[in-house]
Amino acid sequence: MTNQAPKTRPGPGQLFKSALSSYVFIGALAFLLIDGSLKIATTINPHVWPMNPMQTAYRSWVWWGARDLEREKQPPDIALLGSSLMMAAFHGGDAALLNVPQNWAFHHKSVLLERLLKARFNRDYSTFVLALGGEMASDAYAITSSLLTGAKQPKMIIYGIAPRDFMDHALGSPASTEVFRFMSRLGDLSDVASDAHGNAWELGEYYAGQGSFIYTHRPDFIYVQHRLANEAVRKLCGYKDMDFVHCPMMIRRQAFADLPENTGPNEVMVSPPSASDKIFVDNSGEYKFRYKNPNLKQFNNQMGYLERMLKLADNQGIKVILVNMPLTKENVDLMPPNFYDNYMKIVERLAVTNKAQFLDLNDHQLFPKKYFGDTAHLNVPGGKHFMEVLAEKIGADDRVAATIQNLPQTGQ
Amino acid sequence: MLFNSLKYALFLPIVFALFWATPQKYRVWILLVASYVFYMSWRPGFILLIIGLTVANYYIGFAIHKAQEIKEKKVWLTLAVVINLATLAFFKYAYFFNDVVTTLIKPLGLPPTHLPFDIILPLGISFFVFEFIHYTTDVYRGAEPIKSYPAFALFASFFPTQIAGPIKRFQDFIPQFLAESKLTVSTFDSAVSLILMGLFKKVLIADNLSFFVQGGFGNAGLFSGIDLWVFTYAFAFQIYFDFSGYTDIARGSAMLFGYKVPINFNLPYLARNISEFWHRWHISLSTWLRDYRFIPLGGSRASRWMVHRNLLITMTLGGLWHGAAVHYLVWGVFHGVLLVVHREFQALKNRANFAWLKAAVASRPGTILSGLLTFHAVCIGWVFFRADTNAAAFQMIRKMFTLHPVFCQSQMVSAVLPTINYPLIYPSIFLLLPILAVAHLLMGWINTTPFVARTPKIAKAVWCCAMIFLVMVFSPDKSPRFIYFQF
Repeated sequence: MTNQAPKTRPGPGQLFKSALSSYVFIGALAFLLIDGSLKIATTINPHVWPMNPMQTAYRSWVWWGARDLEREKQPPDIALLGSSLMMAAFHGGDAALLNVPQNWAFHHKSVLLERLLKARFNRDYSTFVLALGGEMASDAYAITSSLLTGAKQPKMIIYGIAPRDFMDHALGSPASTEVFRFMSRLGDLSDVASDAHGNAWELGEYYAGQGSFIYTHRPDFIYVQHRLANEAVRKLCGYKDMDFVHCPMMIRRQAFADLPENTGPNEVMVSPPSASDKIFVDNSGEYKFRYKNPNLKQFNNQMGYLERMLKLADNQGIKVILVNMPLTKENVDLMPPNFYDNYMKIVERLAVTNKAQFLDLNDHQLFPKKYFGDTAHLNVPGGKHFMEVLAEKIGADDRVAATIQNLPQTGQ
Repeated sequence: MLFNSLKYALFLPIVFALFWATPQKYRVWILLVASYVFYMSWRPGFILLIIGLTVANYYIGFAIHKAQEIKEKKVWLTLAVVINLATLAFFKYAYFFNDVVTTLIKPLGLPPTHLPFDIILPLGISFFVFEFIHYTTDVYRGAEPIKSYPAFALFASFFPTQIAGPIKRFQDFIPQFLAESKLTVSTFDSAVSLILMGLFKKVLIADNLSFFVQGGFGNAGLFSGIDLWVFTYAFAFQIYFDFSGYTDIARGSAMLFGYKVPINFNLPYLARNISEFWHRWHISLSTWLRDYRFIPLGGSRASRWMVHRNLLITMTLGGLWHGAAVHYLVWGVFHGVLLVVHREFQALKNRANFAWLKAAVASRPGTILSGLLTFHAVCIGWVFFRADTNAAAFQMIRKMFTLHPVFCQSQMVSAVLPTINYPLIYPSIFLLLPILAVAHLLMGWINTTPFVARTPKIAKAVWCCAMIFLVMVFSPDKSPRFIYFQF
């Protein structure tokens, strides 16, 4: 590259001289210098960067959970993990017990389970629920690794699992979920980077991004942009309240499904028992899609995350109870042949080899169809029933009962 | 391989380095191999299609040139056009024809027809087929055929313009391939600036708007007329920034090899009438349609009604070129009608007793009003273009022109967009759209001044640094494909 048509090939020195006369080169160099300086400065002193991961433009469900856990003065005795199956049971159980609507964004303590355990073991237990819609085993590992180790480490994790947490046709790659992404900001998940990214290009993009401070802090800049835009619109249009969601849920869900997950504190409530609990929604179409084209690689990968999570918990001294969540027979029948039996065998083996307890609550006698709102999720009475059965099963199994009985008291 | 992907970010520098490290006489081969690799990165099998058409058109070009009789030349040209159009029709319109047949035979009580196989549309086919038709037609009209096979093959497959144009003219392009390539610092700077600007338009503006537009056009029933106008404005800017962003990256990429690709857009929303709009929008397509459809039909040197017919046919075909769907056809017809109305209006204001009208249109308020009217007419056309079906487009148009009070009891007729506070898009959309409109005006002014040339190098370096930052930070995690890739 020269200023004039070259007759001979330019040497490195000449090329460098030419490069310095290029404003693109100078601009790119300036960018690299700024990026590198920020990286070095924050490595020496992390507080140089004034933002923290909780300052985010998108308030997803996991954000609300992480925020409330951060506000807790003491770490919980028991953390509950799982997908919407556990979420439905937890919110439904408390809505039935307390007879008041439960706000998905703010409600993170299972009052019903705390009371049931107190009645059975005659001591107080604090709970914190981080069960989230669509939570895969990889997400549960990410939450355990980033959020449930350190200052807010619980003494026990009760993890509600189901086959769909290991095989979901709708899942791109483990790293593509909102939970995984947010947890990557809170903690270091680089140990699973190669497994979490779907293909070599995605992984390459990840590593390329890791090399840049600005790239890894994109959410911080988006947050600043969001704040500035909010302020501008507040001033220009006179809006007073930009935190609450005003737009009808129907429109947000239906029309803007492609936008990043962003939920409002007033967005979803679980009502106390009502006549609507008798309505059964046939969602077998959705589950046919989820169980479509069984992806053995994904299944094994997700089982690998469960194993990692159990090992991590064991290393950290956290007891784990794996709970096989109840499903309707119709739902189990939608799975590919032998899939469910294989899933059970692997989960039981992993529990044994990693010192976890296993409780199988997928019993159609214990959970008849009247306790379900659809083929997979429990309704409000079903949620209450689930917590009661869970507490009873914990008490009935000597090993599990001993584990929970011997948990250190808070403050010890 | 998308321009806004890591693959392309690696591919382009590798080809750039190989190209400049290779002696001049082999450079065309380097680019040809790179272009085939680029095409095969999507579906390797389709490389046979592009190679097959290249070989056929290359030899037919010579056959046309060698033919002594005009009749023989015509036969060869017809063969070339049939081969190219039949290929396009098979891949692009087979389903459409099948649907038309099914609709026609339905009243006779006959069962619907089904194609016995699945057809996948090869990327860029509409563009390279039009380039082949241009080539054979121009050879028929007397141009010299291209002697160098690699140069001819590269003309059709040149990776920067392979998927979505601009539709090139071989008279401009081939001499560049055959001449000695040169790269200067200023060319390099201009090329990378164009690529950065294209990425900025695509990933920062078009991609972020696309989530918003998708929500509105996919669920028009949920929104009021005012909301739908906002969605339509957003789509107008989305498609412009998406396609002109693509073109900028294509032009910048070509420039890195020392080649100039013509512009495809010239601030189209500043057009004062629909005719001017088509001189500013997708210029390579509109000039192709003019040269190879409108003029062969008789052009504007015909009777008043024949000119109208020619305009309607040309624009209808232009609409169908975008896709085999009725809503594209309606979009084309709509633009044809607009052009006819514009011609009639021009004729009216040129009459002696309508001198006041001519003066009014030429005045400053008249110019602004003309620009606004043109922009809104184009926006209405975009509704047909973007809507999934014609029924959805008409539903949107009906709502857009239904004057309900903005805020009333029913949620469905009140403007709901201002109550949405999604980050980035909301509430930024209400700032972004006016900013884009102002930026459009500003660029119109900048283009008429030596502003860019006089800008100090340090300011350009800062601009470049800012562009890298903005593209890196604000591009969505999942970038939608370029809109024109589907054509």
